[in-house]
Formats: sequence, C-alpha cells, structure tokens
Amino acid sequence: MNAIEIISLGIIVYMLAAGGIYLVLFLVAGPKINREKKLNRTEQIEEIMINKDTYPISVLVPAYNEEAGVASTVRSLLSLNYPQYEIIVVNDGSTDKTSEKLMDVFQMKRIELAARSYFKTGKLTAAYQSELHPHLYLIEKENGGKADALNAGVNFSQYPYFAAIDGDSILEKDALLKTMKPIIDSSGRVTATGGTVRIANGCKIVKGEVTEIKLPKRPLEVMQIVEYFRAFLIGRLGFSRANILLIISGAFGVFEKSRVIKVGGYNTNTVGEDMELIVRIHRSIKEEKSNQRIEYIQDPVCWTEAPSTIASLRAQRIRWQRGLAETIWIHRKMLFNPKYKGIGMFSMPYYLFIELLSAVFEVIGYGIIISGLLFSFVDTDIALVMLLVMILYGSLLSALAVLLEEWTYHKYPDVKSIFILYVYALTEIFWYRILANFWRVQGLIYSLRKKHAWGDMERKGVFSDDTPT
Amino acid sequence: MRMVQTFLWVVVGLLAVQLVLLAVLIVGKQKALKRQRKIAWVKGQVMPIYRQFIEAPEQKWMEPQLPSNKSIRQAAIEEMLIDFQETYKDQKERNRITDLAERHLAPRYQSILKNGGWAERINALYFIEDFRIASLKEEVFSHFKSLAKQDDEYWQCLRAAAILQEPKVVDVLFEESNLSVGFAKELLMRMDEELHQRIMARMFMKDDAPENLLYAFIMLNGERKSERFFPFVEKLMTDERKEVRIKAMKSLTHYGRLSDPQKLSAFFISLFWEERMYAAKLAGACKLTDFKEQLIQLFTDPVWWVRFAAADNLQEFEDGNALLHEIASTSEDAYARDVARHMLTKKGGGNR
Repeated sequence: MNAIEIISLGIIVYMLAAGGIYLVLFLVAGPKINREKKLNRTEQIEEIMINKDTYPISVLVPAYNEEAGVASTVRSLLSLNYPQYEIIVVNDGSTDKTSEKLMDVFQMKRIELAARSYFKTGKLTAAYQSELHPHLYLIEKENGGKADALNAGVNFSQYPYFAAIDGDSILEKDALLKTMKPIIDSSGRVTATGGTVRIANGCKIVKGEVTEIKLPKRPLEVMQIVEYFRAFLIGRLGFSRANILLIISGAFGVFEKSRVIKVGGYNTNTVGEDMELIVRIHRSIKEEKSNQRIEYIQDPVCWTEAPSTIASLRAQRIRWQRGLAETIWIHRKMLFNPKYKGIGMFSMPYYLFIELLSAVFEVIGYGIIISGLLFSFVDTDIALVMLLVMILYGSLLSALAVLLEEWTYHKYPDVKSIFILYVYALTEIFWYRILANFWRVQGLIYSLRKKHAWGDMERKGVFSDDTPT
Repeated sequence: MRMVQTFLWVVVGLLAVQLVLLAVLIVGKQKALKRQRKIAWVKGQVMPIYRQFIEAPEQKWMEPQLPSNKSIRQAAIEEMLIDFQETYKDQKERNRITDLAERHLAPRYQSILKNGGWAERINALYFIEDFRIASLKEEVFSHFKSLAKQDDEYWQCLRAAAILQEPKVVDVLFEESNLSVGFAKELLMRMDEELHQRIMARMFMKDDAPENLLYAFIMLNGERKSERFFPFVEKLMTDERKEVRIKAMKSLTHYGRLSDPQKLSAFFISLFWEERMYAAKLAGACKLTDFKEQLIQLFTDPVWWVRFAAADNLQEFEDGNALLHEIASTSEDAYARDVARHMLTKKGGGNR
C-alpha cells in the first residue's frame, strides 16, 4: 500500500467517524426532541408573557449600511410579544442612509448620552430616542466592526439581559419569550440561549413577519435550508444537552449582561465574534466552577436572509471559516485540556477536526477520487469507496436531517416541499458541498492572513417593507 | 472489490431505508393534513352554534350534532374553546366556556393524565388550567403527588392545582424550600384571597415560610395594591432581615403610600445602597415632597443606581423638572450634573 492509499484510507475512516459522531449527537438529543415534539408551544410561553417578573431585555441591532432593511427589521422587533424590552440600533459608522431612514420612519429625537462604559468602543457620536416608540433607541458611533458595535450596544443597554440580532434577520413574534424561557425557568442559571435559525428566502414576508412558509426557487438557497437543518437539528441540540455547545448563532442569541461584562464583551479582533464570545463564557464558567450553563432551544425563532448568489455565499463561508479558525486559535489552550471538561475534551476538538478541517480532508478526497477514477493514480477500488463514503457522509446524512425536520417540526406546510428538500439533500455531495468545501479551505488560508471587515453580503432586501418574495 | 461492494450495499441499504421513511412521513403528513382539514371543518360548522350559547344562553339552544369520531370531535372543541378564550373575557362567558370544557373535554384530560405521554399530559394540564376544569382538581393534585422529577410537568401540575384553588398547594409552598421567587409568585397569583389569608395566618403563627415565598407574597401584594395585606407589608419595612426590608420597600412603591412617612428618613442614610435607592423610589412613588432635600443629596451618592433613582424620582414632584434644571446647571458635582441632564432629555425607558 502506497502513501496515497494510506491517506485515502485515513480519510475514509475519518469521514465514517465524523458521520458516526453526527449520529451519536443526534441520538443524544433525540429523546428530548421526541418527548417535546407534541408540546403545545403557545401554552408553554403564556405564563412568561403575563408574568411581571419576566426579565426585561435589551435587543441590540448592529447595523452597517443596512438602509434597505433596517426599518423593517425594527418594525418587526417593535411587534414582538414581550412584557418589557428596548431596541437599540447601533449604527456602526454606516456610509449610507441607515440613520436617516430610521429617523424618518420612527421620528427619532436626539437625547443626551449618559451611557456607562463597560468596554472601550469606537467613539459614540450621538444617541436618539423615538418619539413614537419610547423604547426604541438609535446610537451612532464611529466604525469599528460588528463586535465593537455590539459592545457599544451593551454599554448603552439598561436591562440585565440582551439579545443580539443581525440586521438581516427577523424574529418570530414569540422569539424573546421562547428564548428567555430556559433562563426564567432556571432562575438565571442559564446564562445564554439561542434558538434555531431558519432561512427566510422564498417565504412570504409581510411587514416584517413571516406569513407563509415556502421554499425558494434557486437551488443555492434550497441547499442552504438543508444545510441549516443538518447543523441545527443534528449538531447543536446534542451539544446543548451535554452543556458543551459552542455556537449561539450570530443571527440571534440572548445573553446575561453581567456574564458578558465579566468576560470582557465581544472580541473585536475576530470575525467570529459570536462563537468566540460563547467559548469565552464557557471558559469563565468552567474556571469559576460555576453551575451556569448555555442552552439551545429547539424551536425555530429567527428567520434570516441567506446569500442568494455564489459571490455572497462564498464571502459568507470564508468569513465563517475564518471566524472558526480564529476562535479555536485564540482558545487553543482549551484543546484537550481536561480542566474544561466536555468543552476541552470534546467540543473544541470536534470543531477543530470536524467543522474546521473536514473541508481540507474532503478536498483531498476529491483529488483522490478524480485521480483514481480518471487517471488510475490511486487504486480504483479505494477511489470508489471514497466516493461512496462521501455520499454517505454528505448526501445521506443531510437527507436524514430533512426527514428529522419533518418528523419533529413539520414547518413546511405541504408534502411537495418535503420531497423537494429531500431530493436536493441527496444531490448535495455532487455540487453544493464541493463548492462549500473549496470556500472553506480558502477561508482557512485567509485566516492565516488576517483582515478585518463586516461581511459584504449583497442585500436583496428580502425584508424590505411589505415585499413578498 | 469486496470493499466497494460492501459500501455500495451500505449506501443502497441506507437510501432504501430513508426512502421508506420518506414514504412513511409523507403518508403521515397527508393524513395529518387531512385530519387538520376535518377538524377545521367541524369547528367551522359548530362554532356559530356554540357562540350563540356563550353569548345568549337564555335563548333556546340545542347542542349541535358532533362527529362520532371522538378524537376529531374533542380536537375541534378544544380548538374552538381556545379561540373563545381569546374572544370572551367576561366572567359569565368564561364560566360557559368552562361548562363546555367540563362536558366535552374533562373525561379526555382525565384519561390523558392517567395514560397519556409526557407532552400530552402537560398539554392537558395547560388546558385544565386555561378552562378551569374544577372537577379534575383532585386528579391534578394526586397526579402531582405521583411525580418524582421536578420538570415542566411538575410545575404545570402545581399551577393548575393552584388555579383550581386546591388548599394543599399552600402546604407545598411552605414545604418546598427550593421554589424560586418567580414560581412562588406564579402560584400565589392564581390563588384567591381566602388562600392568601391562610398563607398570611401561617406566616404569623410560625416562622416557617421559605424566604422565597415571603418575598413573593410581599411583592405580589404590592403589585396588586392589595389593601388587606398592606399593614403586613408595611410592617416588614422594619424587619431585621435586609432583604425582607428591601422587598417590602419595593412592594410599597407599588402601593404608592406609607402610613407613617417618617419611617423612611433613616433609609436615606442607610449603609446599604439598595436601601438608599429604594428610599428615593418610595419618596417618588408616594410623592413625599418633604424628602426633596434628601433626594437632592442622593444625586452625589457614590453608587450610580442611587443617583439615577434620585434623579428619576425627583421628576415625580411638581417642581421636579425645575430642580433638575437647576442641578444640571449649578451643581458642583459632575455626576449630579450628568444625571440631571440625562433625565431631562430622556423620556421613558427607565434607568440607563
């Protein structure tokens, strides 16, 4: 057996193991999903809505050049069901008319700034409060990146919990109630929560609210829906059950402010500020030997606009991969460190070897398949086995996620959508995964040549006012 | 070659299994959609007739013909009653909703409590609570007694028993020392005055109330401005336990009055900043203008929260804004100027 064949076998074993880990993670979460799937979700949160003790929340919306969607994002936030909350839009030195748009629609009036500073951020230049909705604020600051904008928002916020939401996401009406539930139920022992994020492309959205769930037309967007199912359904729940969850999506998460302040806020030196913060929180919990935990709720609560073009998807994936690489690098001391228990011994290695490096292994795998099947550099049998394992790992696992989604949430209202999603999932390995893996490898390379910026996603304006898409 | 074949079989096998699953799910979904349509249809048919019963029971009324399929019938009635709950807020109408629930749904919930799955039992408990199905009071509490694990079902059982005014919940409140303040309050909120009276009597008689229950009781009475328990709450303002004093003061801010305001003066110079803060809040809530000077002094308090509470509550007084202007322009203390200025420019939103 030559070196290439040994590598090939290594990759085959790796992919089988990774697929196995996915399945084990699902099995860990499975009983809970099964147990709770019939629960009446509306009844479940009724209490929190009427209870005067429900913790108030500050909703932070960092915005950089979001003039297309910011007003409708804010409008959807204004209609959230929650007893007491404030919305703070942080304009991170936008060069477009983000602020003007808000001032125009919500009649913002300038107020004096008397914000406390927990963290140093880019200079705040002005603060405004809406005349129409006194719990809506806009703060303007010099450009400093998303993490810096969030930190400024935390400085300005007044409530003990805050939710960070992307400018391109919309929340379900009960999102805050559902995500705060674990925190309230545990009397504060849960320090951060996140919920399932869904892709809104294709859905009908009226006045910042998803009114009809439909599939998008473009294959690239459909594929991302499958991908999200896989990530959220199979991955995160299992991690959450074991209290070793490392990601609360940047699109929507709720945090205990005092904990975030204690760990020093968002890190402005990484593009993966959401994950990095969670890792730091875990780290501080473990170092303090605190009994706090981070929880993930399985209910879908947030809708986000997925990139619809190759270029914007590529930019997003490169950014994610860089964020992941940077986070693991910053906290490399936690890797295989028994002091951090499950996080050090399982989560961090999992994110390193499976989430970060799988793309590299898979790309090598492509090379082996091509050289084996077309040029016979590698034993054809090995190349074929590699192809089959990739189909197992890529397509069949994703297809399973589609089935699980239907089994648990059946959010898509018709039989046809399920069928389409399933068929798409089966095709994943033959095109989408190849693209994504190449971008992820690129992201890995870029993370070595660090450069900082907001994601340059081209906005189609899925959430533009009253536009059904 | 054998390895290729093995993997090929694995892939084909798994694909086949998945396709079978897909077929099962699709058939299941079609069935579920059909069932939903049927329920919606039944609901649409019977709703106007029941609506008439709820709105005008004195008129001649005949129970509509309901489908023989028990599961569809009960689901349609359950959905209809949930909708009615949204629409009808009047107590008489609510009682009629309860009547219907007792008649059509109580037997179902009773059997679910006995034989249903975890999620079904919790849902049943939610509806027993929502529809106030009093005939199941005993069942709910005995079901509670059978639960070993403190999970959603445990909590929901207690909520349902409390709303049905089960007196044994009072014992649970006193005996369960690990109930959170929030949850104790949830239970108290559901209880009527008679049970509250019983709780207060027991607190007086022996000092065995868990602290969280005491806090919850103090807070809830304040929020409800319950006259009957005002003397009890006010007395606790001078309790020897700091946390009890603070909770009592917080509760009194809701009452917005004190029978003897002079009791407050000592709190402005308390060693504990929380007490100074609540002294400021109480002065504002009760409009105690005699404490104007003390409030102004608190503008220079070392603790931010106290300064803010002072500024915020000074605004409650008639000349509050004028005083804030004065402080903003003449105070020698930078913090005081800052907080006064901020308060003047910001409407609503509370402390920042």
